[in-house]
Amino acid sequence: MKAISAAKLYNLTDEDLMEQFQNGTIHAFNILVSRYKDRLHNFLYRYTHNHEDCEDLVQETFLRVHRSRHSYERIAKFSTWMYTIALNLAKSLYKKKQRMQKVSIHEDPDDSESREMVFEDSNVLQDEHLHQKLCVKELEKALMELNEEFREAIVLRDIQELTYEEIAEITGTAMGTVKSRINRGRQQLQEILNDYMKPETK
Amino acid sequence: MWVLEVKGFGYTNPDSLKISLLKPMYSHQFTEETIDDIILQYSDESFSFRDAIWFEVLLKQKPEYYKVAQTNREIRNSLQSLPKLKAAPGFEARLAMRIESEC
Repeated sequence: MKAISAAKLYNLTDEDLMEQFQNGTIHAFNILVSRYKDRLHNFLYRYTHNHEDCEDLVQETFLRVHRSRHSYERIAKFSTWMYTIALNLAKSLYKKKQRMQKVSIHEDPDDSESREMVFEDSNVLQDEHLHQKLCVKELEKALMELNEEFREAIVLRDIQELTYEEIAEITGTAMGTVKSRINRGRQQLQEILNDYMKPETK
Repeated sequence: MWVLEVKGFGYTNPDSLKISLLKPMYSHQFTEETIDDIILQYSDESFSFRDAIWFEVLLKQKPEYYKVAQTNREIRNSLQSLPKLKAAPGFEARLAMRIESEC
């Protein structure tokens, strides 16, 4: 493939950019980073619930893309390949945290003074914002309580908006299993949310 | 009396046509996989006319799935409306530094 101008790189598909990167065009990698950095943050935060860990994982994902660029083959979609790397990293971190036990998976108490989450939509009224924050908190908390297999399928589908085929490829499971996990996961999520609504009987 | 003639099928009685079209559907045996498919299509809001008919047939047989489908759709909508988290400012510069030191 011939080297092309920086301006033209922006119009290329992810797979073409990867090919350019494999041929030594560093700027192609930078474009991939700018295309996926937010999406990866949004995805990996659902595993870490901690901004620093999340950024570390996103950096680590791009670092692995950078290092393993020559092992990428065009038969796979770039995003599927990259999400597989990210998911494996997230799972390792999650297991490590579970082994440590001392660390809460809901919220890192040491993270209280870290930077605020950056939201896309900041154009909301104060009351609405407060209500929205409460709902978001409950939903995020319920998501973290889900069975791991259900959570990954739901996050990839409902938050990352990937297709069932892509999710099957990333998680290495059959499509029927993916669909079943999404259905059951959503039911379980509703049950967890219902439990939050129940008044305490103590 | 009106008689319906469908060429090629040999039906001359409208009732027999109606029965032959609906009976196999209402006695259809749904598998777990087809139920998952119908519920997902409902929650994705990507129902075709045909899917809508199958959904109705499913509910005729198993009305309990209406609540399941509703819950699925509501949960999906709630998750889709979660705020989108973005990378913190300066992310690309920090990544570049890390790549420079580790690659």
